[in-house]
Amino acid sequence: MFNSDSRWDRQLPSQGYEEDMIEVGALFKQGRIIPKAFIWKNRKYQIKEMTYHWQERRGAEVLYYFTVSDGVNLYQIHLNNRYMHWRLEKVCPL
Amino acid sequence: MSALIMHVDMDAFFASVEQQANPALRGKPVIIGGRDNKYHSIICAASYEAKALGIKNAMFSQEALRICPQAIFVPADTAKYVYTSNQIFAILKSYTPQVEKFSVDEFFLDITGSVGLFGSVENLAQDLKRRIRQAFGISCSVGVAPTKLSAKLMAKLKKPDGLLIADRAQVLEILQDLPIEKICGIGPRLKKRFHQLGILTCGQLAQYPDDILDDHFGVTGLWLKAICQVQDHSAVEYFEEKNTLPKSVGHSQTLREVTSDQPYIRSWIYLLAEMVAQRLRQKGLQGRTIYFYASDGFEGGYAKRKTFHEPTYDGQEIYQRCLEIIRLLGQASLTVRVLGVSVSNLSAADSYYLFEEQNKRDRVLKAVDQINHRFGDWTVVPAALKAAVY
Repeated sequence: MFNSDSRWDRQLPSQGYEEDMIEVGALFKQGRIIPKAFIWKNRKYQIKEMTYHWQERRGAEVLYYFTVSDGVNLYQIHLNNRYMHWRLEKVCPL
Repeated sequence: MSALIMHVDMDAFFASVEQQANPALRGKPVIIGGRDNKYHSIICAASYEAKALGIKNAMFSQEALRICPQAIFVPADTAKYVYTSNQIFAILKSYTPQVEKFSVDEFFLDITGSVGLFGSVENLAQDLKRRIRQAFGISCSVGVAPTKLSAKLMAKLKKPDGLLIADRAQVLEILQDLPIEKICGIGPRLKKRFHQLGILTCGQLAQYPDDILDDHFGVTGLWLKAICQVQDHSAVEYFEEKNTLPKSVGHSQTLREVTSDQPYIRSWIYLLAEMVAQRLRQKGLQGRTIYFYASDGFEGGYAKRKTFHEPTYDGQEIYQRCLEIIRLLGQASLTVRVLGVSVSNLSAADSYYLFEEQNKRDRVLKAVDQINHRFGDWTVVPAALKAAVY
């Protein structure tokens, strides 16, 4: 039986990623997390679209990932369920 | 009533996920490869825009970028695909409990018993396609037929975003003039051998005498003939069949480049052995037969399997057994690009040993598993893996 869960590259450092702490305003609705806005480096970014979401388990921690856009850039952010902090991982222009 | 098997095949799965995640990639040729180096990678997925330009899966990235320099290379993000695949699996389970995850982007469903709940096969299929699109914005192709392989073929014929429902007579009609290489399992070599016998289409293979096929191809020939006659009735192997042990557990890896660096190769073999061992332990299994495969990526490789007296789920032991197989192959020095390790002849793990040393080792393995389960995979790794992992 195929097992898609097994992977070895979890701990490989990703290149070009930001790792900044951010503050996020999010809606928790019917078991879903919907980020609405975030503050990064004292500037507020209004989220216009969430393009994708996924989760990754790292040991006992679960990271909830979102790719969101403010209409100008695309941001990859995540919520760590153990520390309850949000981080910005990646930014690229739309 | 004949069986109704559905095959759900995600369209250019990894590339579609990336295009959905990043709107800037939509409508553009996108290729997905390893995270190490975009010039030394294997293309594991290409968007339809890239495929239209001649890029194929499993192509070397250098070749793909030569064919299409404007192609956008995206490093694979396995977590994203695995999560999406698991969520799709959960959606499919709401249509029937009999769902087989054939690969990360392909699923078989036995809908024979549940189709009545949805009115018709078409209703069920359209609803399923709609829900997947709604959840992830990506499309799939669906084939429905009386057998698994004919369902897979029907899905393939209607890519992308298609739906093809066919009963046995319709499948036979489609197969009549279909080139044999369209059948899953027939590659260039087998195709050539069939052509030498004058078998060009599935219809011709379906009519071919058994004895001649048996002489030339053995059971494979008869099995392929059964497929062409829509008589291959392998069952959908769904997860709940807990009593069914997997036949083998294996991993393979394509390295950055062809290498003769023996310590580096050995650390990769060790890493693959550890990955296999970890999965065996997760499933509560152990195995006696070790299969080792190595290739430089151009010519045929070295491959050998050996059955040992004692079963194991210890990565170090699997690694040592791989080294023994390499010695048996007479390869003092390997030159490789692709490595593979698998363990078969599996049984339920039994960790009571006569000697205390083995019991100690077993306790170490369990402690390492507990740490890695809590703090993440590869938090604790054997030092010998350093060259491969870091």
